[in-house]
Amino acid sequence: MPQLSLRRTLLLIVGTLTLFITLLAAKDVYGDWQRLTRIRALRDAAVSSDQFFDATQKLAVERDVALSMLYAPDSETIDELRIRLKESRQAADAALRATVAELKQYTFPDLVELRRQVETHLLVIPTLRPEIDHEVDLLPEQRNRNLPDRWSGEVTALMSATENLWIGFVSHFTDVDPIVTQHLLFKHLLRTITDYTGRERSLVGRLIAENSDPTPEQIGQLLRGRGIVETDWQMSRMLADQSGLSPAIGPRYSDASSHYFTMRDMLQNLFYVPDARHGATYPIGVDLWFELSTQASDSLGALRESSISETRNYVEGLITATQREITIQASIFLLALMLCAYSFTIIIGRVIRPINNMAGALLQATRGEPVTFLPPTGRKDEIGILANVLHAFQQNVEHIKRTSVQLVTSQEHLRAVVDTAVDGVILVETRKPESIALPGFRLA
Amino acid sequence: MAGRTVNEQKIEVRSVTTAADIGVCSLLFIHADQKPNWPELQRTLAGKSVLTVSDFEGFAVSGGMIEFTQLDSRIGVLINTEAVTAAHLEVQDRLLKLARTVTPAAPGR
Repeated sequence: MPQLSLRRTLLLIVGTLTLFITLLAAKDVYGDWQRLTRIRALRDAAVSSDQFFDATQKLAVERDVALSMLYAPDSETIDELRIRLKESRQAADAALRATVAELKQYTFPDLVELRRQVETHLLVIPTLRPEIDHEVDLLPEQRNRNLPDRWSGEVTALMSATENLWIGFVSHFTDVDPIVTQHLLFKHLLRTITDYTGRERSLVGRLIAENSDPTPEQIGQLLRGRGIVETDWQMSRMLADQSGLSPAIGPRYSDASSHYFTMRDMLQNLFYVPDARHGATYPIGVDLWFELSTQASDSLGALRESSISETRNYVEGLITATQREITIQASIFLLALMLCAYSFTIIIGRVIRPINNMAGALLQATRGEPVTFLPPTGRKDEIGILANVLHAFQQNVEHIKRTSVQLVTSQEHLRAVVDTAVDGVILVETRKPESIALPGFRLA
Repeated sequence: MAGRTVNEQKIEVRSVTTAADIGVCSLLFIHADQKPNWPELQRTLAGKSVLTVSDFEGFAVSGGMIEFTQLDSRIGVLINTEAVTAAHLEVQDRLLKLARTVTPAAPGR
């Protein structure tokens, strides 16, 4: 294998190091850029997720108000709830429109069927609303007895389909950041609490409107719902603590849970116990009941808003941190490139080139060509020392040359004298004049 | 109710028997048994931002702020908005929609 020159070896080493550092830095930058893209998508997904929540909450309110009206025995109760029904319909429509519009930007294949199911149920709601408006104006005994169950079934099915769509949608973003996933789960638990407290509101509203006792099946339904809600309260507390939500949402959480448990205590003895009212009229009317339960719902809404805000802040913090990482990685990458280029320039310009020049000059010198080693100015490094040595060497060589020339001259002069001497040469030692040496003779 | 929170404030429930024991509170519920003491209580609370609530008849018209009463066999709410305003308090519109407002009786009646 041919031996590489020092210059090529150094070039190879520097080039390899540069490539290595560049690839490492580029890999980190690319990884961070991909993460940044995913986090931005997660931010948008969290917004869409919140709109799901909003839509199901608004639907629940419309469901419950309409049911109470369908069961109301008198026109006064119905009139009291009419405005609330109108407002809840408008709110539900707006929330659903926003959710559907938001979903259009996502083209995950597994959401196609889930979206279709939501849209199928959505088409039924507008057909039932006019029926409800018509039925509530009739006397109770003239109303369609199947309509409340149909209405409740369709809205609940729509809410379940929306929840399934939400689960399918969120599953695409659970691998981005574990904290945000916990935040989304927290909101899912809030949504479940809102749904089941809404069902309780609906059933209790119906019982108050009819002034009837709950059947064993209805008590079972209420107890099942309560079990789910209270389990979800406990799980949501754990998630809030684990995910770091607690400090930000603590006061709102406390308010919402206090409100829920206060309402629970109010309802316990009247609606969770068979025949609790003993035939008497329920102490509050359906309008006061809806106001009380709406206030509890508002507390949940405030908690939800607080958690949304905290998630948004956290995600923005993630984006900022990732952007900072990318900036740092890119700076390291550029710095590494610059250092490698500088190293390359230094090595070539201040080491290789001087050595090559010195080697060339020495070669010229060995061929007898005139060469001058100039003394380096200001360089105190190894090349400077070498240049100094070569300069001194050249000075010595010059001195030797001059001395050699002088010797040759003296020799020639001496030969000339010897050649032209007639009798010989007398060597006289000035200190011992008695010892006179003659060529061919030796004196005693 | 004790220990629960409303608007991020913890609820503390205390029982008092005399006006001097009232101290600082946000809401004072006056039991029907305390009806004879209401005028004195009212004087003690004058100018203070304390919401007064009771369930004895005539509470609202005699200067109390919120009275729970029976309307068609159900709990009804009577609100004396003047008394509320005088205590530098405010009742939300959504509660006013559910309640009936009353005007206080003229002094001397």
